[in-house]
Amino acid sequence: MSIEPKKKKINLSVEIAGIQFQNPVLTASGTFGYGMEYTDFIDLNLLGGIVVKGLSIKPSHGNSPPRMVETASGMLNAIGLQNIGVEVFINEKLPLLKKFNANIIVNFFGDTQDEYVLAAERLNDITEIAALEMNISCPNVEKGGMTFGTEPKITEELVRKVRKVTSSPLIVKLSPNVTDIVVMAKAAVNGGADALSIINTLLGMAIDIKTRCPMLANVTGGLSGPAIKPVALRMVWQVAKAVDIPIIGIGGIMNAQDALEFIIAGATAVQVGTANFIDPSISVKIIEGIKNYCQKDKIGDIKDLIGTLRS
Amino acid sequence: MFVTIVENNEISAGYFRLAIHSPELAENTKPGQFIMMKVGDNYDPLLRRPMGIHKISNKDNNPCVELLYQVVGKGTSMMSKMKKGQQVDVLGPFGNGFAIPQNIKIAVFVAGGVGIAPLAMLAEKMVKDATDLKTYLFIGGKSKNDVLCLDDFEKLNTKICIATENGSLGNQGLVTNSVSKFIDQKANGQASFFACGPYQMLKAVSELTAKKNIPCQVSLDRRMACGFGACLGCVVKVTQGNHGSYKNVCTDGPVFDANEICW
Ligand SMILES: Cc1cc2nc3c(=O)[nH]c(=O)nc-3n(C[C@H](O)[C@H](O)[C@H](O)COP(=O)(O)OP(=O)(O)OC[C@H]3O[C@@H](n4cnc5c(N)ncnc54)[C@H](O)[C@@H]3O)c2cc1C
Ligand SMILES: Cc1cc2nc3c(=O)[nH]c(=O)nc-3n(C[C@H](O)[C@H](O)[C@H](O)COP(=O)(O)O)c2cc1C
Ligand code: FES
Repeated sequence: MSIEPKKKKINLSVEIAGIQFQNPVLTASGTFGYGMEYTDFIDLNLLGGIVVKGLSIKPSHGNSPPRMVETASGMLNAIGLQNIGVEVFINEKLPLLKKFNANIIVNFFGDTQDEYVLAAERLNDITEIAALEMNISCPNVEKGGMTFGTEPKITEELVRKVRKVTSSPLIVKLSPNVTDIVVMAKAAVNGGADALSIINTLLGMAIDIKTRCPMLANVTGGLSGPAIKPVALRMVWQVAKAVDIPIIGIGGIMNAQDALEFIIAGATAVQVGTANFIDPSISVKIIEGIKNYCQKDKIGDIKDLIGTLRS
Repeated sequence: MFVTIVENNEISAGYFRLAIHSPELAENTKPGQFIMMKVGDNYDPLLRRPMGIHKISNKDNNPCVELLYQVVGKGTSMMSKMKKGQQVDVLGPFGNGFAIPQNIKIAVFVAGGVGIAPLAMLAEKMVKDATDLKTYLFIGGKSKNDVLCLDDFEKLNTKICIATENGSLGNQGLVTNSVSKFIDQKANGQASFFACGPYQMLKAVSELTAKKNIPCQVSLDRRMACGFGACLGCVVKVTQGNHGSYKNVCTDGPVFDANEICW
């Protein structure tokens, strides 16, 4: 009978923009509420980080329903960034969330450049907030609704303005709905981003052929889930080769294998989104799975795996 | 959590009753609550399906909860092929459930099609807990085939009024026509309404009861991604609310006071 070899301690911690994460698994904005929605299912202390639902300076009602429809191996959502607003978050949600070990990352957005700046200013210098994640995939009301994150000049300008008003680590979350993701990534870096989250949802739609109506009241919505993983992985890989700041990989991560693919492609950490809806404890299982993989492959430190894609 | 299927039978063409063995659910579920069921073990269908709890029962000394479902698409079609003994992955119970008014004298249930599912459990509990409760059921469907669970209500001595669109059982027409007559002639302040079914039916019942200030609770049916308040995909517009002008059907509902909904 063989004796199990003594398990070596594996270092899963990573660093992004000067912040230490106990492991590289975070939960993605808009899929994890304000964190407390999940306390019945998992121990939030185990997570690397929690990215909360996107906040704006003023609360927002969001879009008319129907807001969600399932598609092949994915889902479309047009929630419309419904949120309680920065102030209520700080006063009511943050005091509950800060009790946990996981880093709290606040995702935020605005309808105008000024609203981005106001939100970032209000969120600046709050010790419980480890970093800010800026969502630039929303419609620019001043520019006829075209998203901020599809025009490199506007992206760079907006990131620079936000950078000026915050000393918090600034993560810019890129939209995949662009011709060249590398151009957008470089624009964010030039504006002063400390890290990049890649990707947000892909724009899509679905139609009910019985009524010939769109399945979403908003007509179009953001596609997420396993259907988008190959696209997300390709974008992470392209950007990782082109910029020097850390990348957080997002898109269709359902299990540890998916997460590891992103890390090998060049992501320092990952965010789990849609998968939380199907299995609210999946993020913890992914952390375990990554640990097991490292154990098996004799990888003592997860950092040694980042960007190790072989040709 | 994984639970075992004890029974999955077609009770009328396209309608199935599925029982799962689960002491936890049997003990903790209130009428009107639901579970989220994973159908299949791959990515299509990706999301869990919301299913109301229809009954709590005991099969061979095993505490069970029963679902009553209609096959409408991919997920429910896969459910209909599930076999006795098979394990399924469910989460719940979720949602608020019906609020049972104290000292209620008259309960009126209005069901459209498979909307009867949660009302059967509600009626049973209300009759069991009350001393002298009069119950009425207004049930409608496209045809005779869509009118389910009559025996459950007969057992409770409920007065039953049936309407089918093709006239194959009961009155011909919409169930709300019968409800309208009943409200005009009989219903008064002592009655409370509980409705579940298609949106248009709920809307009509809500208007009829509102006119006479009769309390009415409706159970809404929305597409859901999570079922526990995290995605904000299931919202309904309300006259006032704590999430702006929308409320979550999964956590604030699925049961609402009819007056609260912007129909
Ligand atoms: C709280 C709650 C309790 C429910 N309880 C029951 C129940 O006890 N018995 C029962 O038969 N059904 C119930 N439903 C509805 C059930 O969830 C849907 O019929 C099911 O999800 C359809 O899945 P599918 O894959 O078969 O259909 P799909 O292929 O997803 O869709 C087929 C058709 O059904 C519609 N549909 C899909 N999901 C829903 C939904 N959640 N609500 C309404 N329409 C939908 C689609 O728009 C489409 O027209 C409940 C829904 C909710 C929200
Ligand atoms: C219902 C829903 C709401 C979302 N809300 C936000 C949001 O508020 N801000 C944001 O930056 N991204 C939001 N996203 C995008 C996710 O954070 C993530 O980038 C995307 O879903 C891809 O990852 P996934 O395939 O793992 O879900 C949302 C996604 C979903 C499904
Ligand atoms: S189904 Fe996700 S919030 Fe209601």
